[in-house]
Amino acid sequence: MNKKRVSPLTGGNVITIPKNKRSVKMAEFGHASTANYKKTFFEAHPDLEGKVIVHHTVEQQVLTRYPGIVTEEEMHSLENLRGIPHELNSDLHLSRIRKEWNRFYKENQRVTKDQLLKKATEIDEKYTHLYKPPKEWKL
Amino acid sequence: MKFYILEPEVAGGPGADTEMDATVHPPRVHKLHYELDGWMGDDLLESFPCYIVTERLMLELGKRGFSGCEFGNVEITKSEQFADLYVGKNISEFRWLKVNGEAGTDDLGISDDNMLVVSERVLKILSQFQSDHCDVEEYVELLAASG
Repeated sequence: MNKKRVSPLTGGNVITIPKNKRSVKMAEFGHASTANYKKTFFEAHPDLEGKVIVHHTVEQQVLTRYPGIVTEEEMHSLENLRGIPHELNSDLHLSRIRKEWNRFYKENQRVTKDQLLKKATEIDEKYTHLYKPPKEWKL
Repeated sequence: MKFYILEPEVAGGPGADTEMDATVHPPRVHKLHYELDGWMGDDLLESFPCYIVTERLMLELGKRGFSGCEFGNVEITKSEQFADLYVGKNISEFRWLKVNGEAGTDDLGISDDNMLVVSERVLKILSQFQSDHCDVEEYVELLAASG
């Protein structure tokens, strides 16, 4: 099948993604002591409370789609949480990130934890310029 | 007739009440609970392997009698993230768009790589609705050269 991109149906939004030559540090999981992920994030970054939308870089729905691969403690760990400032069209960026994960789900019936973290790292590389705090770069 | 591959807005994912058999691919969904994490406003939404449409789009698609689809009920809820993004935002009524047609033949179908493929006439209807976040590509089926 040959695919040729045509256009968004009615205009659409263009997001500029910087072409970084550096790579971000590989995504990883830690171990959360609570499922209250916002509490975990804002305890670590109290200055960002009310300023960012907190999201899971490996999406929570992975728990439903691929049961047994990631634990709740890993899912809600600080290492898996990212903040996107409200003023940076956070809803638009989160929408693009969800679409990327959706493609991943289409392509992968079964996954390993490493595959999930690799995909999360790819997404981090595209969007890290938006994150607060920024994701660490690989040395 | 021309056909197109669509990648609709993904506004969320399967909620806790979804009944899904993930031992097959694409997963077989018996009951759909779509939890919204954010909604940019498009009338057609996806969360693999399911599609949902606003009631107004369902009515328009339904009266045209397009092949390859039927409609069902869907439970819609808003996640914690949705509440953080949009304070008091109202959401439309949605219906489950069950696509069961053959890609490139029926008006709505699913390709071998799990993409939604629609006919030109379906695309024309969709373009009259909110669809800013739906990506479109032309669908070209290459016939394998024989012998």
